[in-house]
Amino acid sequence: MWAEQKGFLGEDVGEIVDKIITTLIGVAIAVGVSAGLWVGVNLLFHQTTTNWRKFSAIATGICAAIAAIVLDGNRALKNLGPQQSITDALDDVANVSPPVTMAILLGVVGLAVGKAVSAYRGNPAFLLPVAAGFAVLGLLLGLTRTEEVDLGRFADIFWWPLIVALLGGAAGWILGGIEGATTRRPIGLGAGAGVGLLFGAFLTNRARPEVDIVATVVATLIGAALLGGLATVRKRAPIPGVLIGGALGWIVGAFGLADLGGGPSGWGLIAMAVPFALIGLRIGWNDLPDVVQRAQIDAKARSWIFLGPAVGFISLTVIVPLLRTIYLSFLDERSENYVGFGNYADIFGNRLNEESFDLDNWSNLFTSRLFLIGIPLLIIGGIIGVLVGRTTGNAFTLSSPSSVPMAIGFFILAFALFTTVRGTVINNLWWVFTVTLVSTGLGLAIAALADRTKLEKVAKALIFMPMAISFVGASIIWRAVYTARDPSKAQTGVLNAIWVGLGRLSTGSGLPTLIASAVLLLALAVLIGVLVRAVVRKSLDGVAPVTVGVILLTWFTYRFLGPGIGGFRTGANDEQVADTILFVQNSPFNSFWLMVILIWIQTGFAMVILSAAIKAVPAELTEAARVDGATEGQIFWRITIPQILPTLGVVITTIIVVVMKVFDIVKVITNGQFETQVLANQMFNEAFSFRNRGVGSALAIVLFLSVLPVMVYNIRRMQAEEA
Amino acid sequence: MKRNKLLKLLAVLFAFALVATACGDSSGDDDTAAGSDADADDGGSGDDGDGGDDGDSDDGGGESSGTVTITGPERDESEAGAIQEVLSAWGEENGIEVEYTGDADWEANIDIQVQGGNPPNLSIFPQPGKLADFAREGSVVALADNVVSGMEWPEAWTAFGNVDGTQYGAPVKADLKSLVWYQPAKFEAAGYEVPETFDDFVALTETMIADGNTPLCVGIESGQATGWTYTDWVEDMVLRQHGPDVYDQWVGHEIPFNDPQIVESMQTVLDLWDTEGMVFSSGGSIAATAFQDNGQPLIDGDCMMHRQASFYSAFIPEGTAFADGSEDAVDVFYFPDINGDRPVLGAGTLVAAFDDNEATMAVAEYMAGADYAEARQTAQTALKEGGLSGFLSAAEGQDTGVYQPLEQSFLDILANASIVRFDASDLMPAEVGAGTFWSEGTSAVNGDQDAAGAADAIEASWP
Repeated sequence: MWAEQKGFLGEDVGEIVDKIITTLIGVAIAVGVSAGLWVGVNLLFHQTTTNWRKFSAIATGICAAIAAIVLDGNRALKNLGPQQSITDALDDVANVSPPVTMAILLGVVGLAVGKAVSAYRGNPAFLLPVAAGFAVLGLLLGLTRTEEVDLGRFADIFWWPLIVALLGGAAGWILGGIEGATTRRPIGLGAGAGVGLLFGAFLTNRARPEVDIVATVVATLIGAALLGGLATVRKRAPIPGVLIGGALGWIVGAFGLADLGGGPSGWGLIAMAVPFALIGLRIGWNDLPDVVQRAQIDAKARSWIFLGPAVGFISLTVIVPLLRTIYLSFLDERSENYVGFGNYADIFGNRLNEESFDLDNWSNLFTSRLFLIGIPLLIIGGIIGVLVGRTTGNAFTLSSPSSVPMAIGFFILAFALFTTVRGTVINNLWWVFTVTLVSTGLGLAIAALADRTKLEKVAKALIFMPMAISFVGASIIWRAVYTARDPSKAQTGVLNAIWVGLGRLSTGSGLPTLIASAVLLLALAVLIGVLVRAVVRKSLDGVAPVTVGVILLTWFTYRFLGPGIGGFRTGANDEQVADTILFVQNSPFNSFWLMVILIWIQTGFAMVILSAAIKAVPAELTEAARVDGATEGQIFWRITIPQILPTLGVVITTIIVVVMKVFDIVKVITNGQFETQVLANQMFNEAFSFRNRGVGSALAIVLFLSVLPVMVYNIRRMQAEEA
Repeated sequence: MKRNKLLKLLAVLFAFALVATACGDSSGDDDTAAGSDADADDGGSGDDGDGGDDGDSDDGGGESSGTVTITGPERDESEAGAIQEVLSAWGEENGIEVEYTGDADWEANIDIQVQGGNPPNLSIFPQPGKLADFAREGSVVALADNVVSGMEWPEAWTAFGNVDGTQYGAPVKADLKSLVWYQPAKFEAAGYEVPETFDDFVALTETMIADGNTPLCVGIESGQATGWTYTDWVEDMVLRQHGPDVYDQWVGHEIPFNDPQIVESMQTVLDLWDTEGMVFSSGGSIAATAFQDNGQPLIDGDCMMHRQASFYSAFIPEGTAFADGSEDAVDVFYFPDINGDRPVLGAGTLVAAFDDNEATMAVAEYMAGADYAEARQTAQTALKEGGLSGFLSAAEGQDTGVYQPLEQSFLDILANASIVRFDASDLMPAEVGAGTFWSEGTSAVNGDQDAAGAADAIEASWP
C-alpha cells in the first residue's frame, strides 16, 4: 500500500502536472469560448439599431451555420445507417466530380449575390467578380472533398457549415437591404429554398426520409394551425406564425414520422427545401423594421442574451435530462420498446409490490409494545391539555405539559405503524416523518433553550458542525459507531462498548457497580424531591416533565439493581456473556439508526434558521406578555411559535425535500439490505446495477413528483417571505 | 476603434477554435487508426492530452497499426500495472500500441461507452453473463479465427466465452473459489487431518467443536455486495450435492430458483453455519462481519478454517508466510466434494472485442495464450515485490515455475478438476446475481427467513 502511495507522489508527478495543465487549458477554452460567445452576441445586437443590413447578414449566416453543424454533426443522424461520405452523396446527386458541382452551385449563388451587390452599390461592375469569387471558392471547397487533396480534420468539420453560412449570410444581406413586401417575399422564399435544396443535396442517404406525404401534410397543417392560432390568441398577425409552424410541422412530419434511410434523393431535396423556403418566406414576410422596431428588437434580445447562459445551463442540466427520464420511464429495460405505464405498474403493482408495500403484518400493530405505550401517552397528554385549558378558559391548550407527552405518544404510535407495515415506499415515509420531526423539533428546542445563554455560540457551533460533513463521510463515521464485534472480543463500536459496559456494570458486584447504584439512587431521590415540591406548588408546568423523568429513572434503577440492564445474556454454563446489538442488521429498527445519521446532520440546519427567526421575534411582544403575567412556557407556545411559523414551514419543507431523496446513507451502510431500502437507492440499483433503465427512470419520476409539491410550496413560501 | 475591438475578438475566437481543433485532431487520428469512426472528441480532457502524444509518435512510426485501447475492472496498481507493462512490451515487438485503462466503475461505464458509440477496442469482462448480453445485443464482435485457435485454455474455461455456439470471449484470468484456508501447524498440533470428503469435513468440524475450537470463520458483509460469500457457498454446495448438470439448469433458469434441490443446498449452508459453536464472526454476526475480516481471526486461532477464493491471500495479515512449511504458514486445501467428481467453482475474466481490426484481434490472441499468463504473473509478482501476485491462469503450457508454492497448489487443483463451473451469480441476470440472490440470501443468513422463503423471493424477481 505504502509503496503505491510513494509511487503516486513520486514518479507520476509529471503526469499529474500534465493533467492539471490539460484541465486548466480546457477550462480556459470553455470560459473563453463562452465569454466570447456572449460578448459576440452582444456586439451583434449592437448592429440592430445602427446597421441593420450587417446584422441581418451576420445573424442569418450564423443561424445557417448552426443549422449546418447540427445537421452534419449530429452523430445520432450519422449513425442511423451505413456510412456514406458527403463526397458520395454529391456524386449521387449530380454525378459530376465535387469541385465542379461546388463551383457551379456557388457560382450561381455568386451571380445572385453579385447582382444584389451591384444594385446596392449602383455599380454593375460588381456582378462578375463576386460571381467568379464564389465559383472559385466552390471549386476550392469541392477540392477539399476529393481524395487527392486532404486538408485534414479542420476542413472536414468546417467546410460545410462555412458554405451554408456564406449562403445564409448572403441571403440575409440581400433581405436586410430590400424594402417592400412584394420583393422581399419572393427573395426570402427563393433564398430559403436554395439553402434548403443545398441541405437536401448533401443529405446523406441514411438520413433521407421515406416521406409519407399525407402524414407530412397533416403535421404541417397542425403545426401551422398551432402557431397561427397562438399568434391570433396573442393578438399578432397570424401568417408568420403559420409559416414557422408549418416549417416545424413539416420537419416533424417528413423526418420524425418517416423511416430514415431508404427514401429517394428527390424526396430528400423536397423534404429539406420546403421548411427552409417557409422559414425564408417568414423572414421576408414583414417589411424592414423601422427605427422603433429595431430598438424593440434590440431591447428584447438583450434580456434574452442576459438570461441565455442561465436558461441554457438549466435546460441542459435539468430540463433535458428530466424530459429524457420521463421518456425512458415509458420504455423497457434496454430502452427499446414502449411499455406504457408498465414500469409504474411494476413499482406500485406487480413486480416490486412486495418491496414497495408489505402490509402483511398490519394486524400486529395493535398488539405491538410501541402501540401499547403510545396510546396512553397520547391520552395523558390530551387530559393534561384539557385540564390546563380549564384554567385558561379554553377547551384544550397546547403547552409543554400537554404537548410533550402527546408528541412522544404520537411519535411512538407512528413508529409502531412503520415497524409493522414495511416496504420501500413505507421506509421513505418513515424517513420523512422521523427525520423531519426530530431534527426540526431538536433544532427548535436547542434554538429556544440556547437563546441568550452564555454558551449559545459554542453550543450552536458544535451542533452546526455535522452540516459540514458529507453524507458519505457521516455514514462511514456512524458505521464505526454502530460496529459490533464478536462478544468474546472488546467492542470497537462506541454504542456497543457502552451497552456491553453497562451490562457488565449492572450485573457486576465490584466497587464500580456499588458506586453507580448509589449515584442512581441519589439522583432518583433528588428528582422525587423536585416532584414533590412541584406538586405542593401546584405548578403543572413543572410536574409533567419531572414525572416523566421520575418514571424513567425509577425503571432504569430497578433494572440496574434488579435483573440487570445492558448488553449481556446468560451463557450455557450460567455465566454472563456479552451481548451486542447489531444496529445495522436488525430490522426494523436499523432504519431508525440510519435516520439518526441524517438527524445528526440536519438538526444544525434547523437550529440555525429557527434561532435567527426566534431572535427576530419583536421584544415588545414577549415583554408585554411577561407584564401580563405569562409564564415562559406560555410565551413560547403562544407568541414565539406563531411568530416563527412561516420560517418553521420553510425549514420543514426543506428538510422533507432532503429526506425524500436520501440515498448516500443507505447506499453506504446497507445498500438497501436488511429491509432498509429507500426509493433513491432502489432507483440507482435498478438503473445502474440491474441495467433496468425503465424501472429506474420510473422510480426517479415517482421521486421527482413526490418532491415537487413540497418544492413548489417551499419556493412560494420563500418568495412570499422576501416580498 | 470599435472595429478594432471586433477584430481582436474574432482573432481570439479563431485562436480558440484552432486550439480546440488541434486537441480534437489527435483523437481523430486515433480513431481512424483504430478504425472506429463513431468516437469523436468527447473523451475526457486527460485522454486528449495523451492522445496528442500518441498522434506524434504514430507519425514517426510509419508502419505502426495504431493504438488498441483496453478497459477492464482491474485497477489495482499491481494488476493494472502488470497488464499495461506486459501488453506494452508485447506491443513494442509487434508495432502495436496498447493502452489499458482500469476502471473502478467498469460495469456502469462500459454500458455508457457502448451506448454512446465509443467503446474501447477490447474490454475485459468479469462476468460471462454480461458478455453474453452484449453478444446478443450485437455490441461485441465474434473473435477472429486466429484468436479462437490461439486460445490455450482448457475447454472448460473457453466455454465461458462461448455464446450460442460462437466464441465471443477468451479467458485471460482465473479465480479459484473452492478453497479452504487453514494453518497446517495448528491442524497438526490438534491432530486434525485435511478432509477428503464433505462428510469428513462435517465430522472434522464436529470434532473441533467438541475440542472447544471454533471450526469456521464466516463473514458475508461486503458493502454494497453484501451476501456474495453466501452465494459462493451455495454454488459450491449445488455443485457438490446435485452435480454440474443441475448447476447449469439452475444458472440457465431451466429449473426455477426455488427448485427443491437448490433450496436443499441453500438450507445445508444455513444449517451448517447455524450449528452452535460452528462459526466465529468477528463482527458479531455473520451478516455483520466483513468478508475481509476473516484473515486475522484465522491467524489468531479464533477459528480453524475459512472457505474463500484464491485471491483471499490479499486479506491474510501482512507478514504471514504461505505454504512454506513454517510455523505460522497459511495453506489451502480443496473444499471437499460429495460424489468424488471434484467439481471446482471458479471465476475469472474474459477479453472480448468491440471491433474486428487486425490489431485488436492480435492483442486478443496474445492475451488468450500462455505467454501472456506467464509474463503477467512475472510482472505482477515483481510489482508485489515478491509477494503473492493475486493473479492466476489456467492456460495450458505455461511455465509453473513463475508461480509461488501456494499458487502452484491452486494450479494443481485446477489441473485435477474435470468439472469447472463459473460463479453462478455472475452468470445470472443482474437483478438476481447482483441483487436478490445477495439480499435475500443475506436476510436468510440473518435469520429473517428460511432458505425456501429466500428462494421463492429470488425466483419471483427473476426477470
